[in-house]
Amino acid sequence: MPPQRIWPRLGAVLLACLLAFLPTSVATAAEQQGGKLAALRSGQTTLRVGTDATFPPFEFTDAKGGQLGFDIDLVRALAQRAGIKKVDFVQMPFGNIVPALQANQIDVGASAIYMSPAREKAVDFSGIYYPGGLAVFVSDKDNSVGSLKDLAGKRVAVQVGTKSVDWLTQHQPAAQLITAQTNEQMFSSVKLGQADAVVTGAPAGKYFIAQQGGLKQVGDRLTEENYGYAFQKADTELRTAFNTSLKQMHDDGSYKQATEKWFGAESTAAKSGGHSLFNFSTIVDSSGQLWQGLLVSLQVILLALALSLLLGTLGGFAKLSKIAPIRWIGNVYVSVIRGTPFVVQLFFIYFGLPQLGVQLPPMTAGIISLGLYSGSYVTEIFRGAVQSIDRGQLEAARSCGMSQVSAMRHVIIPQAFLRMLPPLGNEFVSLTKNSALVSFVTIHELFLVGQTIISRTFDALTVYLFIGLLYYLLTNLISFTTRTLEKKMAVYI
Amino acid sequence: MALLEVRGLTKSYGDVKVLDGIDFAIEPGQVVAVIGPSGGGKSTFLRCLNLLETPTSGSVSFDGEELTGRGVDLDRLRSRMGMVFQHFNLFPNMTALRNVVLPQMNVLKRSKEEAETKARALLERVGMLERAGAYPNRLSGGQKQRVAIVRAAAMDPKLMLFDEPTSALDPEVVQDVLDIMSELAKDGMTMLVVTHEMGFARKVADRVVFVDGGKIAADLPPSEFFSESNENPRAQAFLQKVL
Repeated sequence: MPPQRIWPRLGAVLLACLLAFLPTSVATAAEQQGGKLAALRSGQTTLRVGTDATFPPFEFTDAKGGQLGFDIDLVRALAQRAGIKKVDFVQMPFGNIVPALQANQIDVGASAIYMSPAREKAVDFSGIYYPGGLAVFVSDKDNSVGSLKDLAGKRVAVQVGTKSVDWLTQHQPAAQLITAQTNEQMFSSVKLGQADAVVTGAPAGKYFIAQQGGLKQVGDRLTEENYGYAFQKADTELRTAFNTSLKQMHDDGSYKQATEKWFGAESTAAKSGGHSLFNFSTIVDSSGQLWQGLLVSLQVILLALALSLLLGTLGGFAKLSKIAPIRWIGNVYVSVIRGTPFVVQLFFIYFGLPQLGVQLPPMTAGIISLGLYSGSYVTEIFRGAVQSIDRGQLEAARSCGMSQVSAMRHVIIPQAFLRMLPPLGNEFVSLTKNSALVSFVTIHELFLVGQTIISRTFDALTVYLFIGLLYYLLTNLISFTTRTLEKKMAVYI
Repeated sequence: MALLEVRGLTKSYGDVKVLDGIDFAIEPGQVVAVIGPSGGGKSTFLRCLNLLETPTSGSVSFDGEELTGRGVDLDRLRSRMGMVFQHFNLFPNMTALRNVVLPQMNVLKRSKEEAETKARALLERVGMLERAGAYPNRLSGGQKQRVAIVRAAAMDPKLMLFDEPTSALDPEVVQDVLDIMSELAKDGMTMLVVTHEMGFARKVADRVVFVDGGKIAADLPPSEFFSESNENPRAQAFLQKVL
């Protein structure tokens, strides 16, 4: 073994020994001092870190509920360097983080928090640990855009409801805005040629590039906003320890490693496990979320189905009524509801009715809309089936002295129900498929959950394929159930 | 007093006058055969008696009550007036037994045991007891009609209306059904039978009512109606065709 190779090895062993002793000695020293940092270093207390883990790649939740991301890794590393033994991440809404610091419920706020003057009045910030702000992204093959000026006349994708929309309208009014619903759709629109550029937060853009590639950032950041970790006012000791650790990490290159893990090009291969078309891991990793979404979907479908049957029966009886005004109600119900798009009805109920003082929770609005819509079809199915029963059946029942109600209940409806089953099965298949549309009113059913997963994994192909498969299984289950029921009931045919 | 009495009964569908002023009465225990050419109004006449068709004018009174009057409990009156249809009209979604039991329980409020005992006894009389558990689709036309007669008879009606009860049957089973009707007649049931079976009209009926052109053209005992001395020209023409 050549001598020049022995020395690094020996050095590594020595360093390891040193590291093994170092925390112990620091802790002992800290205990003697008796401060908050000392207690953390001794392991007596746990560092409480508040975060809202819904913002990849800074912090997000995997399908099993574990928190991960750039902030999570960096805070753990910084804490370790500061000699802190136990770290606990506390999930909370973003808006609660600063109040929680003020109330001493947490020690650190780590959630991609911009260091704004307003916040600095309430908390103290570490040094900048990551530069944020808006930036321009274009296709990596596109060399026609170099700066904000070049966006004049270009199609620029922005996400609806974000600050990029207003900012771009003010600073580059000549750009033609393409409004996307989700973060992922915004980036994809450039890759698919539906837009020329994207203006959005620089970290989100870098994350997309790391995950998917195909885009590049052009020019400098458009706005100067930076992320810092928030500490309780006057907790100088902890804040200083973090700043020292951060500087160390910058100096020894481990900071760069962390950024590359979450924002760098290397992360692509590591995370997606190659470029296979169908990534089973995407589904497995998100199985908990998907299961929840499926349960919500089933709840929506079953309740809407019950409402649809109820309204369809009432509507059917109304249309068969001998009393003209009741017949009119049935006719109006069918012609209005069947004659307008479901989405319009859904939005009218959820967004329109509040102006009349009727504020419905999303779930209620979704179920009512879906049941109301499907019920109009069931009305016609019901009416048609009842009218298809031979007139002699009613005559036979009535000639025995049975009342109209008894004749309907015991003779006509049971026979009509059997005839209704095949078209009802079709209608409930439609209802199941339409249930995906209630995601528009923020119901976290299967389709919306799918979009959430795509925003994290960018794996639209796998997720939509899998969700499509789940819907396919559901609709086939319905067809199977109605067919079985029909066979069972059709003993007399 | 007549069990059923009809006065000035007319029935029009638009401009077409199907019944043109019918006066008719039936006494308890009588069996009346209603015969006549197709389209002459026989079935409409029968269906007006329990108001399956609403008469355009005229009155129908049954068992001392005016059926055509206002506020009359039609269901109660119908329960005392059984009806047997050409196409049986059994409820296909129920077994033969259930077909007979349901109206008894639903209308007469008989207990299940009572209704089933009654149903089984009657089904046995018509030779259908062992088929009591069968659905109508498993029964032949003759069997269906026997069950349908039992369904009507189980209500203990005061009058039974038969609307061409054998017209939809295969020739070989017609006699079975006619025999059952003859037995009912012997038991004293008041019956009004629209039929093309001249043998039945001749042997079983007390009166033959000949309906043609929406009117009762003849109302005679069968011995007179079928005799050479019946000089009604339309009845003569009809009889020449069917005999």
